[in-house]
Amino acid sequence: MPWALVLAMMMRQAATRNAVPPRYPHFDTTSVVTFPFHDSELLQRHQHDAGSAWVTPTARVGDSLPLFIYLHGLNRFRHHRRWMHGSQYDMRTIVGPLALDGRIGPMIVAVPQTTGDSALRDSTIYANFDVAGFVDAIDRAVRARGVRVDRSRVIYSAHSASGCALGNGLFSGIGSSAVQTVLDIDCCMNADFGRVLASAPANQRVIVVYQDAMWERDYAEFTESFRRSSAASTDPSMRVLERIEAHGADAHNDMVALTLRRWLPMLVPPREAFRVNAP
Amino acid sequence: MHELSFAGMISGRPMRPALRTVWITLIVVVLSAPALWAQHAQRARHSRHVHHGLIARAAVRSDATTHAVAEVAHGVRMRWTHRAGAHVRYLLRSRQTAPDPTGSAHARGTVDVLTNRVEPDGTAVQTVSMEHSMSTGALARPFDASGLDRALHTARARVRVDVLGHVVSEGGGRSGDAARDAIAANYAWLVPTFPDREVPVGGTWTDRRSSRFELGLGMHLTLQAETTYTLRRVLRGANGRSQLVVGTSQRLSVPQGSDVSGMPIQGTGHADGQCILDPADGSVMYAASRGSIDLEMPSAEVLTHRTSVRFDDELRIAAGRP
Repeated sequence: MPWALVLAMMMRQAATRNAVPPRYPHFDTTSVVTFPFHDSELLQRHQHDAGSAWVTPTARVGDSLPLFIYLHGLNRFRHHRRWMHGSQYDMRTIVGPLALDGRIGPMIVAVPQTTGDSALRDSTIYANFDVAGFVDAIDRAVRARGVRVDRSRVIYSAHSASGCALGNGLFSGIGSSAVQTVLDIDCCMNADFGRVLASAPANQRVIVVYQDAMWERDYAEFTESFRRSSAASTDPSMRVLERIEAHGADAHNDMVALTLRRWLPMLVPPREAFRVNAP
Repeated sequence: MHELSFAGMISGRPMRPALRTVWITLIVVVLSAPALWAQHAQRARHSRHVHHGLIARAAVRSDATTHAVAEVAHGVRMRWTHRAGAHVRYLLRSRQTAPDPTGSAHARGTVDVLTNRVEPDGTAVQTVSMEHSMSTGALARPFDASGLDRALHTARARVRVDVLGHVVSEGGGRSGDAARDAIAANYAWLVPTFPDREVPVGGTWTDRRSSRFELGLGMHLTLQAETTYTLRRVLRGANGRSQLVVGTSQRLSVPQGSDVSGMPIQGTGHADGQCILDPADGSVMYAASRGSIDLEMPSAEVLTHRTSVRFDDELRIAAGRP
């Protein structure tokens, strides 16, 4: 007779590990849906399909799912499929375990890829990014998987240099009716950025998360400006500024996983409440 | 001078020492065979008599000095006999392997069973607790994302076990406490059931069981088994009680409806094993089981994930009762 409880635990482990490995092999884009999106602007000539999306394995056919869009930072080595291709930093290995451990509900994660010359400078990366068009393109792409985008739950995030130019990248989402939540992950910080982010429409949530262990910026000016401009907001949960104690040689990139593990469970809560009744 | 040997006498030639030893042994065996056969037959008759008595539910003590084995020709009616106050500790170990990226896991644990009381119909009311530790490969995250693992270490399940080995959690079903239910369900899988009829050696019986394991964070998994038992032998232990050697062959399944955080999971598998039971003591002395289960996880992300889990489990009763 098998040790049934341990077998059940192992089956759970095997199921989740198989659905989302702790680490994908390099350049593995298993289960990533790719699709064309402004390829000529975002990619080098020989590349195609700037759009990439991944649906958590916890999604079911017919689901209308929250969407998390992530704009990556500078792409000096012009890697195609950054954050979706089995490197040390992979959205699937950050978001997948959250979903499989029941900490978040099923969702779609999408990354617009950029490898062109504009991706080499913080002033040009994701210039005038077409957020609404990207949401439409994702919705079309994931319908092949039997799911669709819940347009009332779109989280638009950017990391690093993709939040360094007003009108581009992260700031393309400010005021966009296609976006309900703007998530700034350790982007540029100065007084102007603080003011613009905090002055987003009242019904658009803005969350700014940063670290100060590396990459010196105008923290004081940014925070002062953000707080001052947020004062008009009647709901404090709609304007969040948070410093995370990050350490290590690559605290700036580590911020992505730290931020998502902290905020996605709140932004995309699980479908059902915890059922464990521990004594 | 020629060496004297039986072979040498026949052939008239001296014999090598090794060959001589073989011949001498053979001669001794041939000469003593009738006496040995008579002794064995007498012992077998005595043992058979004792076992018939035991299996008729009488815990007859034997004065036999050997661990004699007698195979019962007639049917055996098997019953678990429980004793109030009895405390049994089982030691379990399991080795489980799944393809990458899951890797392998080793588990060790104890299950403590205290019989609180025995009702007139022989049903025992027992308290079951479990401790276990599990180590996994480097790639695996800890199992205890939900806190269930911790909860298992402090939970106690109250169960009722009838004379045929059917285990029911007190209250009749799921208590709503994941850890307590898991311990009760797990215990039910450790106790073989008996049929309500006589079974000859070589005879078989079948039972079906289904247990739902709440694995925390909304995950639940149902494990079902159709077990075919074969009564292989009836032994008489050193304590004079009869012990049953029972083979087990199981068809396992994880039916549709199981759920890992919203990801449906289903599967089929098998397990083969053997156990040694001491019904008069109400305990399983030893059990081993080896098998595998193939799993499918259809999801919207890709069509279907597939994997399998192989397992090799063993249970022993603790040598010194706690």
